[in-house]
Parts: sequence; C-alpha cells; structure tokens
Amino acid sequence: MSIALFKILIANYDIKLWYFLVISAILFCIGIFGVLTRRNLVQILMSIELILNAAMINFVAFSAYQKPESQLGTIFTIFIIIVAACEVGIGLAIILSIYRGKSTTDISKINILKW
Amino acid sequence: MNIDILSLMPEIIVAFFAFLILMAGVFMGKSFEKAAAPVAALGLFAAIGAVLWFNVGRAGLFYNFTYSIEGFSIFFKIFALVVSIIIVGLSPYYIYRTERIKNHISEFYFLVLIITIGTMLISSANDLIMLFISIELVSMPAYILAGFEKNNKKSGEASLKYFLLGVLASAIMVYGFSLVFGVTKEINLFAISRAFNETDSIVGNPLLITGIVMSLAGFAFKIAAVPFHFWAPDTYEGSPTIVTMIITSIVKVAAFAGLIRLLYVGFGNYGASKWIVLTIAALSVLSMVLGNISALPQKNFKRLMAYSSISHGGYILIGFAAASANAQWSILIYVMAYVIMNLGAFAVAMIVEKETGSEEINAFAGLGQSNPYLAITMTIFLVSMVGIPPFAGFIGKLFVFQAGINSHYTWLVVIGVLTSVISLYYYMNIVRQMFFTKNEDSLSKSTSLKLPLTYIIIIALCAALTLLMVILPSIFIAISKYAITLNLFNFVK
Repeated sequence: MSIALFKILIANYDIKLWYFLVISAILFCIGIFGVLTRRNLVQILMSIELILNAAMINFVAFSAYQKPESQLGTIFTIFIIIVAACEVGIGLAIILSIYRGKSTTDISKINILKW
Repeated sequence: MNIDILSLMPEIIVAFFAFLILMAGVFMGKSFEKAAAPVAALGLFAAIGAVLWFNVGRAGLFYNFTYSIEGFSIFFKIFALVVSIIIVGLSPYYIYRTERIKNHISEFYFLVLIITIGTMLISSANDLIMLFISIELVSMPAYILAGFEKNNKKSGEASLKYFLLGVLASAIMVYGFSLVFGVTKEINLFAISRAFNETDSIVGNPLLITGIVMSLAGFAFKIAAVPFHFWAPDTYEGSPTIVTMIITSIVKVAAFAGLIRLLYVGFGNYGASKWIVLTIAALSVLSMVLGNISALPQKNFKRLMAYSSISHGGYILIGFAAASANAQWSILIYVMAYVIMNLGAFAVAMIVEKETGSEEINAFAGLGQSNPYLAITMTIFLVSMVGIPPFAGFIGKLFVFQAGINSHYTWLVVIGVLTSVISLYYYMNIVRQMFFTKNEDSLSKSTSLKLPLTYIIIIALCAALTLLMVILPSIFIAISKYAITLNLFNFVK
C-alpha cells in the first residue's frame, strides 16, 4: 500500500531520485563535519548516527525508485536501524564508564595514551 | 528459499555454548568459574566437528542465496575455530591474574565465542546485509572486550577510541554499500558481480567507484591500514593483553575474509578499474612505510606489535592490489603465517608481562638465561615476522611479492622489501634484550619460571607450524589452493 501511495506522490509532485540523494549527501557531510569538530563524546555519537541515517535514506530512495517490487533496500534499512541501536547502547556504556573514572566527556581530556 | 538448518550447524553450536556459558555464569556464579574455559573449548571443538560433518561436501547456496558454503568458507571456519581454541587455551592463566576480568569470566568467554560466530558468518556471507551484520557481530564484542579492565583508565580509553573510530568506519562503509546498491540494483554478491560483468561501462561509473572505495574504508579500519590506523596503537596498548591478542588474530582473520569475499566475489573484476587498485596500493604503501618507521622508537611491546601489525596489513594488501587468482591463495598463506606467529609472540609476552608486571620491551631482559625455551621460541616468531628465510613469514612474503610482480606492481614489491629491512631493527631489539642485556629486577632474578602446560603446548605448536611452513610449504599451498579452487564464485562466472 505504501508503494502505491509513494507512486501517487511521485506522479503528482514530480519528486525525483536525486532530491533524496542530495539530502543524504548533505546529511553525510554534516555527520563527518560533526565527528571532526565536536568535542563532546555524546555529540560525536550523534554525528555518527547522522551518517547512518544518510545511508538509510539512500537505501530507501534507491529501493523505491529502482526496484519497488523487491524491497531489498528497505530490508537493509531495518538491519541498519538494529545495528545503530546496538551501537548507541554499547557507546553510551563505554562513555559512562569513562565518565565515572574521569568526570568528563570532553574528548580532548581523554589523552593518557599517545605516541 | 532453500532453507537448510544443518548448513548453519557450526554457528548454532558455538552460539549454544556461548549462551550456555553466559547463563551458567549468571546462575551458578563462582562455582562455574573454573569450568568456563573447558566448556568454551568443548563448544569450539564440537563446532570443528560440525564443520567437517555438515559443511564438507555440502557446497551450495542457502537461505535465499545469502549464505554460501564452499572451500573458502570451510577453510576460514576451521581456521577461526582453531585460533579461537588457542585463545581460550591461553586465557585462564592471564585472567586469574587480572583483577577485573577475574570477576566476569563467563562474560569474557561469551564475547570471545560471539566474535568467533561473527568470523564464521563473514566467511560464508554472500549478501551485503549478511556481510554488514557479521562484521558488526565481530566488532561490537571487540569494543566491549577492549574496555574489560574497567578500573584501569587506559583500558577505558582504548575501548573508547576503538569504538568511535570503528563505528565511524562502519557508517562510511554502509554509505558505500548504499551507493553500490543504487548503481547495481542488487545486494547479493553474485548478482552484483553479474551486474559488473554484463556492462563494461559500470566500471567507469564514478558513483560506483566512490561506493566501492567507501566500503573499503570499513575493512581498512579493521586491518588498520594507514589512514585508518589511529586507533591501533592506543587500543593495543590500553586493552588487556589477551584482548590485544584477540584483536590482532581473530578480528584480522575476519577482516581479511570479509575483504576477500567483497572484492573477489562481489566486485569480481575490480582490477579493471584503475582507481580502486590505486586506492588499495596507496593504503598498502602508506601502511608499510608509516607502520615500520613509527615502530622504530617504541618502548612498549604492545604498541610495537600494533605498528608491526599495521605494516603486515600493508604487505597483505599488496596481494589485493595484484587482483589475480595467484594473489588469492598467497593472501591466505600470508594470513595463516601472520596469525600463527602473532599468537606465539603474544603467548610469550603474556607470561613475561604477568611475571614482571611490565609491558615494556626491557622486561624481556635476561629471558635467555632464566627461561631459554621462551627466549628461543620468541626469537623464532620475531625472526619469522621480519621474513628471514627458514620461517613462515618468509613464505608468506615470498608468495605475496610474487603475485605483486606477476601483476606488474614491482614498485610496490620494492617498497615492501625495503621496509622489511627496516623492520629487522625493532624486532632484533627484543632479541638483543633477551640474550645480551641483564636487568636486575626482571626475569633473570626468578630463575625458575613456572610455565602452565597449555602454554608449553601452544607455544611449541606455533613454533612448529612456523618451521613446518618452510620445510613443507606444499601442504599449506595445497590447503589454500583448495580453499580458492573450490569456490562457487569461480563456477558461477
């Protein structure tokens, strides 16, 4: 049913595939920029989630435009959501254990190991 | 759909034992501690039996073409299980002397077994979803294990760096997968390779090449090739040594298995695209040069091994840049040699670390007098890592370099040979410490070093295999050629 709805949307409003690709490319760049510039660990984790979201948008858009009957990309998206949830779980646990030891989530202060 | 539960039996057995250990640890507590390692080893041995019983002679595609059984996957499954057994065999001695891990023994073995399952699944993955999920199955427990020594601040930091960069790399990899999916309209590796073969223009498609290069990033992170290596020295130094050993051995096996599947099965003729091959060659050159040069001033043994593993990753990438059938089995031989000598070296290092309480290289001083057995086997492993003839490392380098020259990458091989000469310095520094330096407060004092039996056996086994690989290389060549020629992907094309 959602495919039918999607087809009506595409037909009536003339939405093209590259709109989605541009959005996902912008999200990807925001994510990379966030990882490189943010100093707070939780913010870095959120930026990484943005990159995963960019990949998900790509998958759904490609799937809907190129092979709407097989739904391969949509299935991949569900798996990415699951893995992203696991990543957040493990990431927050690691950040929490660091925070207990050092009382900070600033990545520039976590610097025992170097060279 | 072709659902065949028996084809998945080895993974199911390992998973059963993993959850058994976890639950027994929860409900039986302290009384289960002593039994955890033997139960884990039993599960791994049972899984080897299951591979031989259910997978050999059952080649084919299962579960809607997402899971394949062939010579390649059988080889990697047995290899992963053997490496895992060695790790489980070495672990009790280390764990009982490490305060923090001692209280969480069942969780430790649970995570080790989950990593093993992930490695086994990667070697059979025939689908981008399967590949992605099984890589995450290997990575996630490794992130947790790196931070296992919770009261040690170094360990938490190691885990954090490994986690952040690892998750970033796998996110970039998934983005690359999405571009590959967009161009080829397929996620099955065979279907992708068919899309490659049908239209020649697909190789010149910039979107596809971007996608492939991005998906290489995830694997380059796992094998610590140079632009993605920043986590390696810190994580190797900070995590408990047994975990460092897991990261250098089984996680690397998983990464190379996944890379072979992705490049040789999925992007079958990636060699035709100049950009992809140049990317791999650049990764290889940077890893060889930077890995070997940064290793020179190191004082910490684990940090030294991190740079050494970066440079070994560079040597193996020569095989991927060569992109020929010969390169495939030479990669397998190098991976075998590398993992065997690395396991041996880390086994010796764990004993030295626990006896002296130091991870520095000068903790090895006087080992030649106090325990000649350890000193001589360690020398074998180190000389083998340099690639000097009578040991396994030489055979590995020989075949990889040969494949490189046959594919006209002589400049890459010349850099490889020159950088292995550099590596002689820092490996021999450890040998010099062991035989020619005296350190008052280290091993030379305690003249009788008590070695656990498992260590004696495993170190002897690794040393014997290191020698056997040169005395009878034909066995190993036959095994790795079997793994390659029985491939389904060679028949499909």
